[in-house]
Amino acid sequence: MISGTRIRTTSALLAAFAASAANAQGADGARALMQSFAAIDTSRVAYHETKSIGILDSVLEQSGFLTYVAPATVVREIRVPVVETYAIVDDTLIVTKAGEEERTDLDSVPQLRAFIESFRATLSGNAERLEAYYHVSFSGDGPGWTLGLRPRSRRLAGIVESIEFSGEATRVDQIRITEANGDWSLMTLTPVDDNLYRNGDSP
Amino acid sequence: MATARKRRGWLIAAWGAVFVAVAVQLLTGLRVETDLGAFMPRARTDAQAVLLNELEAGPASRVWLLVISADTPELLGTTSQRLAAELEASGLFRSVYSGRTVLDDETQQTLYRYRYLLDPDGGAARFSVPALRGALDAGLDNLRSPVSPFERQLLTTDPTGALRRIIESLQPPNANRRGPDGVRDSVDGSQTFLVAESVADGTDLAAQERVAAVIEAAFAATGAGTDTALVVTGPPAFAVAAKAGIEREALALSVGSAIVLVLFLLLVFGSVSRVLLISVPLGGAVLIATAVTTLIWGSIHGISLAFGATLLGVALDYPVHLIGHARPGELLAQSVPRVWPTLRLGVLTTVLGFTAMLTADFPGIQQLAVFSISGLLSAALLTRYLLAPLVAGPARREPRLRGVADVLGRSLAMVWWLPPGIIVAAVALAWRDPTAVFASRVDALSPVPASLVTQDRSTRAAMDLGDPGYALLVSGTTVDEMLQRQEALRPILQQAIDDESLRGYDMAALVLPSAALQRTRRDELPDRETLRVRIDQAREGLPYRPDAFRAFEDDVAASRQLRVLDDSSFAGTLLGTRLDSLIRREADAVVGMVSLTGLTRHEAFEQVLKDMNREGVLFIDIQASTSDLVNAYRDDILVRSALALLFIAAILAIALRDRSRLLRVLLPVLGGILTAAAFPVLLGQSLNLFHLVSSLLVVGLGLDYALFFSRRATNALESLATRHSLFICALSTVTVFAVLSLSRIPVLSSIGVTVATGALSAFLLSAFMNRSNTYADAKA
Repeated sequence: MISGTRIRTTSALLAAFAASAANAQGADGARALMQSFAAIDTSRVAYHETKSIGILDSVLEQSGFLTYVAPATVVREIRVPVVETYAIVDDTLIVTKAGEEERTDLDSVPQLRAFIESFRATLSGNAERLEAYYHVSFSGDGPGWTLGLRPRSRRLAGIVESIEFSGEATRVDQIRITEANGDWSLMTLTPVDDNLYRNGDSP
Repeated sequence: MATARKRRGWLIAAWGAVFVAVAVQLLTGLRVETDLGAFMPRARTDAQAVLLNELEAGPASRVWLLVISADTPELLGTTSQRLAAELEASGLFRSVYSGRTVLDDETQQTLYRYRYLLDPDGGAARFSVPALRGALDAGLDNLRSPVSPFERQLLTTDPTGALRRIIESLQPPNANRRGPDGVRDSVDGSQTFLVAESVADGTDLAAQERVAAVIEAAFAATGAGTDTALVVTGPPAFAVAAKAGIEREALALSVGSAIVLVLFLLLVFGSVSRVLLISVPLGGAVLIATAVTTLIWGSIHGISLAFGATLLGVALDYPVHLIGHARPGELLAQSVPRVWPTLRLGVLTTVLGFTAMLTADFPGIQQLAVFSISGLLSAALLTRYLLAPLVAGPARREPRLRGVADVLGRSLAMVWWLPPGIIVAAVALAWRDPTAVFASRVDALSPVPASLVTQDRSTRAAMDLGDPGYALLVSGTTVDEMLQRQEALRPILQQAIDDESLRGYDMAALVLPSAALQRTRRDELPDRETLRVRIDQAREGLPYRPDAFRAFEDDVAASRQLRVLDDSSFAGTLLGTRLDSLIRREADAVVGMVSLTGLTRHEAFEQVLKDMNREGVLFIDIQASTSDLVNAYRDDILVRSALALLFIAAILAIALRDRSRLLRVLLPVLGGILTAAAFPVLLGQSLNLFHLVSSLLVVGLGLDYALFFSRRATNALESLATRHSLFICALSTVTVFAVLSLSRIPVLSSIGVTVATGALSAFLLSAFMNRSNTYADAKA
């Protein structure tokens, strides 16, 4: 029994060492990745999201477009099954449903701000801000990578367990959000035709 | 000789006893108050009471604005959080918020637990099948939202959204507004602000000074370094700064003018002991007056003390007359018969003039009157019964500057046309713009410098904490009755908001629904079985699991057993203090204020209220009430001043029994006051409380000058002595107050300008009116 405890202690120590080593490596990797994100001014992708929620007996699916404009604007346009827009512009969340706009000050819900910074700070390459809100882990060699975020604030951690970005080079392919109560969502991103977008956007 | 010595002994013993009593009273009972409220007029109507209450203790006057800057957003966040925590822990603040209402955990739990009783828009309809269906549909929509993790828990425990409506109704009307140009959170994220409302009233400057010190200490405790900075502003900060400024400047000016005065008296009398003697009546009078005032009120107001000491300035003239009239080789006591009758008449008329202020509507003015009356009487008695017997040795030589005084006095009399000229010009100016003469805002009574008042107003406006233009007063015999009456007003308030003639309102019923309403809400809640059946019907066709709303069912069932909350339920919390500030308890009624922010069509709104004929509801136009209040106060002071002058004229008529001399006394006094009032108007200043109070001193000085100038001297030598001592008196007074008029602080410069102008005018008018009198007698 005694030896068993010792073995467990030892392996825990080893695990801790390994984790810290990986973290050191991870932090560098994360910073390098984010520096490459920082160079991007505008991006627009199509997404499909699957959401599993405990109180529902089926998953929720939706799809639409995600747009990022450096440094502080992130817009999600839901197209299916409803048409709604969620835009974060500076410190305001603007929700547009059925032509009506509702604004929320991010400061009024601190957890919401932290949650939103997980996307925005990542996309704008602001490693410092991201690390202020999250424990950041990074893995991957070569073009493929995974960036893991765990909230520092206990309040947010009570709601969101982790947020995981994965992709290749400067392309994000998947975002997985795992909630503390076991609910989860998985978002798959695919590039849209750049020219189409440009033509549609400019006069 | 023996009787004289014996009498002297008795007098000194009597004064000794008086000063021991004074010392005991001062040592045990001296408390100086700094609350400016005592100098605000007493309210005559409910509307004025609310107005004054707001002005003295209103939220706007207690709001400190703390602008924090830091190098990084993270540091900014932690610094502002720590600072807020430190300030909250100090217990000196009602609330500390960073642009949003932060409720303490305990209050949040209470609100959550009682949500179905407190729901401002609850009721049976919320629990009908169609309403529940709508709520579940909306819930599903929320689950689709990217920020759904934050809505999940409330969806299952509170699908009807009661808590959300409660929190929304608790938002102060101005909570969602930003500061000027991103002060609140600047674009680069380097600045943020905290709004801290002190427990102490805005007018309690001593308490606000402690608050300022606590803020400084709290910021230091956040571990602030060179990478963070704090700027403290807001009305109380301005008031504290202004107070410190006034104290510094008043000290510097009074020390400066005292030095000038002492040097001047030394030059004239050539003896240190004489100068010391001259200061005895004034010093003694200030002590006695302070003792008398504290004996009556239990404390003395700082302003009464400062103004009172100023008003007693005329007491310096008494010993000057006495000493100035003593001939070389004569004992001081021997000049008493020549001076005392005139001096006595001057003092008595001045004192009787002050009695008109005893019945004034301001406790502060009453204090000032008592202080001045007791001080002037003491000064006269000290001059007559202490100074005269005390100085045993004869005067060695004549005071200096006699020739100069004579020449200057005569030449000054030649510009007699100057005061009437000033008066005529001011009347002409007032004719064109009568409103410029009197300040019609209550804050014109404030001793805060105008530039700070402007800065203060712009800050408040930028933060939208400014004066609400209109308010409703709702009264009832109990808190609950008042709350019910406020609830009855909600439809028309909501109507006004909907048609955009009202931006927002705040009232106690928003924080705490009446017991009756809470009971109705509770009794309308469905029982567990009914609710479950309805939820099952409502979720038909939606992907919710059967047990998804079990927690909601449990909470509704538990709510049916709750007892209603009352105003004591939130005691000691932020909501409790907010309730306290919205409810005023009177002897036989409870009055709740509904502040209306941004009301545009007030006539229409007032008409709607009238048509509804609500009991116990009073509409107040704050600006109009302010003007009424200030005008009533001004009229009161003016009527009293006129009465005082008539009173003085009557006394003089009886005492002098000489119509020509009466005229020669009254005209210079009247001229002095009018010039003192006219000159500031010509300078473009509106007349305020301080000008008016200072004019009382002008009356005292004018009476002194005119009575001495107009009296029939027995010989040329005495006539010369009189003119000389009057010249010394006037020159010293005018010098001291001219120095004061240079101050940048309105209170001090108002006093300085008024007294210097008034004293000078009264002097030269007296000299002019009595020129033949003195001249003839001097020759005789």
